[in-house]
Amino acid sequence: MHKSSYILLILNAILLISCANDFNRIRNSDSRIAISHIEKIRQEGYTAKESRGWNFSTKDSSGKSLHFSEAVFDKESGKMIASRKLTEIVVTSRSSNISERDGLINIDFVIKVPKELISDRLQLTIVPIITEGINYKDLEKILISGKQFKYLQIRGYRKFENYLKSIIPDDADYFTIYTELNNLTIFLQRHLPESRMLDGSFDDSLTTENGIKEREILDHYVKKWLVDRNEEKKAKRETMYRKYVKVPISNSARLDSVVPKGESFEFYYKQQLPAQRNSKKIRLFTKYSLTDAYGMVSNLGCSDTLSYSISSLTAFIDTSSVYTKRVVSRRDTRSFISRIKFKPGDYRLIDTIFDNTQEIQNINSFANLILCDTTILPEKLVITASGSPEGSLLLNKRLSLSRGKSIADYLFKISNGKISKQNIVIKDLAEDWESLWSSVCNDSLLINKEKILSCFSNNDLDLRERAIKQIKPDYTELLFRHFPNLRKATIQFSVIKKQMTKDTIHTKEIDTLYMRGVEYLKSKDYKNASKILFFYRDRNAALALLSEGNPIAAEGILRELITKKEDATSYYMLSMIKSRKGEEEEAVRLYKYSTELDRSFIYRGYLDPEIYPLIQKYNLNKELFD
Amino acid sequence: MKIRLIILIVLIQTLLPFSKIKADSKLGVGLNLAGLAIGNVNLEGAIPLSRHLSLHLPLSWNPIRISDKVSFRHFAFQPGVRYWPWHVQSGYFVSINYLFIKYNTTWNKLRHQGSGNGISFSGGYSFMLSKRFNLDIETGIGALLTKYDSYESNRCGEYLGSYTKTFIAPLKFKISIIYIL
Repeated sequence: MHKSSYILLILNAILLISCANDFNRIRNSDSRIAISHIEKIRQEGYTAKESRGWNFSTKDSSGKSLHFSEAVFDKESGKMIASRKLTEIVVTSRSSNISERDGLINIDFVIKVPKELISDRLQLTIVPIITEGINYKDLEKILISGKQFKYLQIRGYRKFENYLKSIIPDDADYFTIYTELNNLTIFLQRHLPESRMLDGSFDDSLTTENGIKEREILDHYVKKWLVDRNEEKKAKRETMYRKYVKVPISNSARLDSVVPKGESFEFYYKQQLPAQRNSKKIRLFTKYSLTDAYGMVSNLGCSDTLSYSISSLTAFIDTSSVYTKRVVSRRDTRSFISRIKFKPGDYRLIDTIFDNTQEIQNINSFANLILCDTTILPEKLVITASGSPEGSLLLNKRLSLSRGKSIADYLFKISNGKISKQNIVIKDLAEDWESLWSSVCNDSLLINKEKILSCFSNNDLDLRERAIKQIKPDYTELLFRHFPNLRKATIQFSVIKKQMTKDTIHTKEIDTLYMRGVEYLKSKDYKNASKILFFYRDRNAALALLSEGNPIAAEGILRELITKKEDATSYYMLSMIKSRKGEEEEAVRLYKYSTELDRSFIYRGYLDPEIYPLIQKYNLNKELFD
Repeated sequence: MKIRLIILIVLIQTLLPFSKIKADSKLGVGLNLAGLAIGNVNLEGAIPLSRHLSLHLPLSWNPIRISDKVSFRHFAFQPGVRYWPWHVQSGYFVSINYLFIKYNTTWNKLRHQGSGNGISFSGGYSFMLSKRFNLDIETGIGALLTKYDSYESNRCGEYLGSYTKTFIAPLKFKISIIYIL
């Protein structure tokens, strides 16, 4: 082994022993990481003064011990009693209240690392962990590195970087890097001057006077050892990374800082979390571990636990059931489209031609359905007969009117007087150009579709028909596929529902849509909740809008609600909106009014960040503490 | 002497048909710089015989009498055949050489005059400097059988005797510039 290798081995051994010593020292120390809520120190008039009390002991002539110390006079007992002044103590709370807004919770806490846990040769990893019921979530970790640890970590990266630099990149010029280019060039000049190999163009038919091909020449002058070495280096990248970088620099750490040995460290940690459904309490603790420069990890345990009680606007959800309201019109219409056919130029209803038998049966069925329904009363019958464009408009108009009349007569006949002739209206739509336009637009088989559609600009319907007739072969297609569909009669009954006194009815069915909106609200999906609940314009709707971050719309709804009925919750929510807007006086007034209506809002006010500052600032609820 | 010349001509005549020398074969002419440094006038003909073989015909002549005590006067002819693993006039090679030398050398108090025949094995490397120039470095060892007369080194020095000796010695050292025709 080389002399320098021995020296390196000895140095590494020394470093390892030092690290092991540090591990043991820290593991055996009583120091622990502490976490606490952000301190809000109140000056209540008591200050602990630093005072050096005096006391001493001696022995009298008989050898008896005598103790002297500072004493004060106790008025109650009338005696002098020993007095000892204590240094200041800090009382910290383990739990805190936080509020959830817009589906998010903001937590903040302080991590205090005592100086005993910081070593030059080690890295301290602190992972805050949130627990919510049975769910655990690791927050971004904090890394506190010693100077020597950081130096070794960076040195490892530098070594790996140098290794990567020694790899020839794939886009390097092949001939320059991997071949004896000078020899290759001269050889080609001497023996194969016509070769274009160096320009990247190979020609296997080219050979030297001794029968050597281009590829063979290239193979001879390629530095195979260099190609092989480079491939080997590429293949060993991962291995070399693991060799050089024992502790990778973390990208996911909130902080990776070097702290000198002998200094304590405090970090103010702030985290925003999405609020989970029904989350009322979350707990937080940290686990921490030590890592040396060789990647050896020693877990040191966990810190104390902090707890957060979450106050959410979802407490204001009105969970009472809502029933479906249905608006039912007293008047209704029932329609049927009949494809009954007539002989050309004829308007008489003949059941024996084409498939009219079936069509007439269909008309009978439809008419019976209405005329035999005892809950409705037929009020009016409208028959709209339409035809196809072939032939003159005047003729078509007359024909469609007559055909409509034939159907009306038939329906009157089968109604047995349930509908009077005066209530039958016949409309003629001589040529149904509108339907033709739609069907042509949707037909992809027509060759001259654009041309046909351009004819529709002609307002003279007869001229329009003639122009379309000229477009062949599409006109034939129209004649056989489109025109038959235009020949129809629409039968529409207007009916009145009997025994119906009002148009809006309240059913006993639970409004599932509304309840789904409430579920969204409970699960803090405010966007979907507000989409559904907005139209109901109730307290839940206002709550969804307020939580979604739309206070203006929420305020509108709440104003509507309090005009209908005085409700403490609505006043309280309005107070929150006003506070957010900065209208403090109005907010205070509304809050006071809500507490008058419902005293529980006095206590609720302490949980909401919109109201609590107002209570503090205006000294509201002082009667509670008097 | 005549017999040796005849042998050489016959050897060349015999090898040439085997070499399949083509019209565009790169014949070379070389100059040994190492020999020139000690006053040897020299010239070498290099004839490629195939992809891997070449024939080399170097001549060396030194007529200079440096002083009464030092001179390397000689005439030498050392034809040889080289084997090139890759290609003639490029890269490594090994060769086998015949040596004929006629000499009259003086060193200090003795002058030796005679002739010798030898055979040597050598190896070297040919650097391609440009399309037309190569730099050959070659060294080799061999056996030399020589017959010579020894005299005192002063002018018309006394005859001391005739000797026949065989040497194993480095018979080849060349740093040559080759011009490729």
